[in-house]
Amino acid sequence: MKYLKVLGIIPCYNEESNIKQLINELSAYSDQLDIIIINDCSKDKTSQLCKEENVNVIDLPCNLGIGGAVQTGYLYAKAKAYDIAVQIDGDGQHDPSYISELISPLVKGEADFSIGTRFLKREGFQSSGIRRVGIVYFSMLLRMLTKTQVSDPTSGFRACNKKIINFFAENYPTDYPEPESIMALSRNGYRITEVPVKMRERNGGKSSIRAFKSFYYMIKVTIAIVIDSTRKKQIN
Amino acid sequence: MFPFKLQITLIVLSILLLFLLINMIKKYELQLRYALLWIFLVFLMLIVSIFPGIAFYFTQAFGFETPSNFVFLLGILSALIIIFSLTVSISNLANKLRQISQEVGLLKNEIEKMKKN
Repeated sequence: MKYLKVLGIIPCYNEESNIKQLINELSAYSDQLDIIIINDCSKDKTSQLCKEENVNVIDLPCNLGIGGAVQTGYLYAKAKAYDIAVQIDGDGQHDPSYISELISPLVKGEADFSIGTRFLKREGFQSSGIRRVGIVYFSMLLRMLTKTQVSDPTSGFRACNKKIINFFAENYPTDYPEPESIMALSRNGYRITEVPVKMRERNGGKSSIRAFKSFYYMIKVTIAIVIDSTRKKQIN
Repeated sequence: MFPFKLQITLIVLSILLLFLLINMIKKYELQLRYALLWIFLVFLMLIVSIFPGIAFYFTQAFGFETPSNFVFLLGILSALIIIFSLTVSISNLANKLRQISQEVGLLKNEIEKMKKN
C-alpha cells in the first residue's frame, strides 16, 4: 500500500494545563502522523509550552475562534500536500490511541470523512445531560436533512481525506463549525462514516460552549444548518 | 381596526426582507453571526404584521398615545441596537487589524534579517 501522509490538527485556546500531556501522548504515534498545533492567540503559556516540547506550532496573531483556527490547520495540510487530516481537541478529551481506527475507513477508501463518536459503544465519558439533549437534537436535524445517521455531530475528533482537506481549506464555518460542516459535506456528496471511540472528561480549561450560551448556540446552528441545506452543490 | 391593505403590505415587505437576508447568507455574502439580529427583527415584524393585536396590546400596556408611537419607538430602538452592535464589531475588527499589521511588520523585519545573512 502507498504510504500516506497524515497530519494531526490540534486547535488550542488557553490549554496550558492539558497541552503537555497531549503532546507526550501523541509523541508515541509520531511514526503514524505529524502534528500541527494551532494556537488561537492564547493568553496563557500554551505557545511557550509547545515550543519547549519542540512541536510544530502556528501562533495566530489574533483570536479567530475554533472555526478559523481549525481552517488554518486545513490550509497548512493543503499547502504541505497531506493525504489525511485528523482533528484532535487540545483539551485532552480525545484519546490518541483511537487515531488509527479513526483513519482506517479513509485509508481503505471506504469513506471521505470519519467522525469519532462516543455513543456507538457507550464507553468512556458520555457528556453531561444538557449537552446530550443538544447532540440528540442536531443528530435528528441532520438525519432529516441529509438522511445520514451521525450520532455525535458535535464531536471534534474527526478525520478527512485529501478531497475534504481542499474543500475545508476554502469553506469552513466560523462559529460553531462541527454540525454545520457535516451538513456542508453531505450536501456535496461526500461519504461520511462513524467510528466508535472513547472520550475522556476534560481535565482542565473550559468548554467553548457555556451554559448561558447554549440557547444561542442551538438557534444559530439550527439556522446555519437549514440555510446550508438549501445551498447548491459547490464541487464536481 | 387595522387597515387590511397596510397589513398585507407589511407582510409582503417582511417576507421579501427575510428572503433577501437568507439569500445573501446562502451566497456567503453575509455572515450568519451578523445577520442573526436582522433575521430576528424581520421575524418580529412579520409576526406583528400578521397579528397586529400584539402592537395594540403593548400600546395600552405601556400607556402610549397611539400604536404608531409605540411602533416608531420600537423601530428606532432596534435600529440603535443594531448600530451599537456594529460599533462593537468594528472595534473588534480594528483591534484585530492592528494586531495583524503589527505581526506582518515583525515578520517582514525578520525575513529581511534572514535575507541579509
